[in-house]
Amino acid sequence: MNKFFASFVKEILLLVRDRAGMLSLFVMPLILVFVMTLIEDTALDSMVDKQISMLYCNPENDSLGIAIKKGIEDTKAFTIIEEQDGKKLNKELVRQLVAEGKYPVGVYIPEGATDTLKSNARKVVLKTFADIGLGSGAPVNTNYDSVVINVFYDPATKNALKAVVEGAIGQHSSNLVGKMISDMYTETISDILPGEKKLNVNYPQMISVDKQYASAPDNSIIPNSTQHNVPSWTLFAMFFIVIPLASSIIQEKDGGTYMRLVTMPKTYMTTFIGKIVVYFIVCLLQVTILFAMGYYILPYAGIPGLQLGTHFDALAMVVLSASFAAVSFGVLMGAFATSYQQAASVGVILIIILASFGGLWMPVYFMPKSMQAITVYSPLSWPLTSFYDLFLRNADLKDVLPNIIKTLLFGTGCFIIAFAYKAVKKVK
Amino acid sequence: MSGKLKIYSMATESIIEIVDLCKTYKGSKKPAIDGISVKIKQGEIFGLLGPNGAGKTTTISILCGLFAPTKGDVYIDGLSIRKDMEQIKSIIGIVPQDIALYPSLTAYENLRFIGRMYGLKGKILKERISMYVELLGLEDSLKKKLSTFSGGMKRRINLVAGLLHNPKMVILDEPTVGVDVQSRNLMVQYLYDLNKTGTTIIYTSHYLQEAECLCHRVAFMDKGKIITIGSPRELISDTPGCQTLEEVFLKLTGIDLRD
Repeated sequence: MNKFFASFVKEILLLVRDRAGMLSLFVMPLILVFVMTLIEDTALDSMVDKQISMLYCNPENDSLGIAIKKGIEDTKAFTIIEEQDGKKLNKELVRQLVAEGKYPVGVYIPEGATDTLKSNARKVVLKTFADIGLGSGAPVNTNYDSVVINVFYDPATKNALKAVVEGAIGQHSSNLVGKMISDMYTETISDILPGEKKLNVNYPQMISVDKQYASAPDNSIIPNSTQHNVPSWTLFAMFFIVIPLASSIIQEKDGGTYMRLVTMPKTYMTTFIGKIVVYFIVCLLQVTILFAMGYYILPYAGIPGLQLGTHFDALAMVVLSASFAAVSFGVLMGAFATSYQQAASVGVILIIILASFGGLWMPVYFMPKSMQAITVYSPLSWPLTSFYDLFLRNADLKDVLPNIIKTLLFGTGCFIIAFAYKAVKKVK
Repeated sequence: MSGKLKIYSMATESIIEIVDLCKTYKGSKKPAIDGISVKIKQGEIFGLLGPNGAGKTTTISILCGLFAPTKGDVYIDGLSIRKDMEQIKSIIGIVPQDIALYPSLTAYENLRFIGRMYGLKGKILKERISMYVELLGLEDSLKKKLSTFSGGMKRRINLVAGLLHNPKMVILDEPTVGVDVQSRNLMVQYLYDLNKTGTTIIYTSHYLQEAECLCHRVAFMDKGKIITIGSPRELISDTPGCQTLEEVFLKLTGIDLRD
């Protein structure tokens, strides 16, 4: 125990005094998680969570402009801006501001658009009644005037955003036209009804949409940038431990301390365990700090806070197994690499590859089908999937156990290969 | 393994008996050491000398338990390195050629760690550290990080690290390489004093004058074999035309450059 404690203290001192190592283990992951969550919150979740500024120019200020504005507001995706520097917008200014990249989208409703639509609706109704012989007998003008609504987009605007804008305009202008025609019919029929009777038609809401996440009907957590980025970049940071851990092992080999340790009685394994316990604790600290930042700090930046689900026993098991896998991967790199440069470069590239096809950089469902099939083989995807299951799908220990077992097997495999390789090298 | 020592065939006056020791590294056709046999007496300072690639470091590495020999055996204090290496490790002290310590730790933190690894603790460990650093003139630098030490100071701390557990036998691999004359003098004097307490010292060096002054006996190794063995005085007197150990060395190993 004395030997283990001595190794443990030695490793902590070495780690604490390695400023670059401490930065890469704690400070850089904090910045990485914060920045990536912030960036992706804007890029990915703008459709759902965050409002985008939209220029809206409605000089006629009549039914069509009002209906479309309400429809756009109802999407909750946009903040409507109708003035720039205290001045009312006009069509040219809207085009110019969007062209300059100051706004992603601008909408212009031309003057007299509502009147044109009303005129068209009247023509439709008069034509219908004339066709069945109920008209005044006067000729009906069937030249319909077109109404053009201008929508200006920044070239970088995503298709999904365009679809929301055009959907809102299309739906609400169609509704308005439908209502205009219906009102016109009502008015015309009322005129021909005997006495003082008026036709009164009400249109009840017949269809409603119930939105919910199929994965968690009893759990109202909404998938967002935080729920993806915090666990994924935390895992990335944990596996980055390969650099300080492998370099610590290599420095002992190169500096001669390895020789001293193996020539001491019953010592090397104790010191080695002391080392991996310290790095294991570092992984746990990383998770604690980064998840705490996600939970407590991100909301202050206007980003949804991290939701940890309700099964903390399962969460603890996932974190422990992921830490074990990260440390064992570092040990493997330390066993095979012959120099610090080799461990750093190969280690970083391997982690980036495993992270990219493990779904850490981009959620798996964004990937092509062929990539999604490979994802299941990345050891980083197993704990990440478990985090998703726990945070978003209200899964319990039984649900995430297969991924925990896979992660533990990966870690055990790394240790076995590392020690077998060292044993073979010693015989040589 | 019980604490009882196993005694194998070894002359009672010898603490080390190397018997037909061979080592061929995997992938190499030439043996690094080729059937060396030597007995080293208790309390002796024994120099293992030779040009680069002679097999000195391989011999020392086998004595330390870094790797197993291809053939032969070594008996240290009656114990076989093939069977009892863990017990042997506790009675030998190693002073490697590299400064085998942690640069970002202080001298005291390094020595405390090494001492604890040898099972020392508490007051005994503190007293040992104080005693050795005082003997080697490092008491004022104990709280400084090793990275701030001069080459000579690092060598002295490296020596202390190999002695903390008061081993019966110390193996030193070029302990004075790259240090100034003052540090070297102090270290050699200390080794001489240490030997007076009965500690056996096995020592390799390229400083033949140092070996001539310090060693009771030396063995010259070349191409994996021991080519001669004896006291420095015997070797000088037995080699015609030589006045120093260095001249004997050059005469026996030649002047060709080695890899």
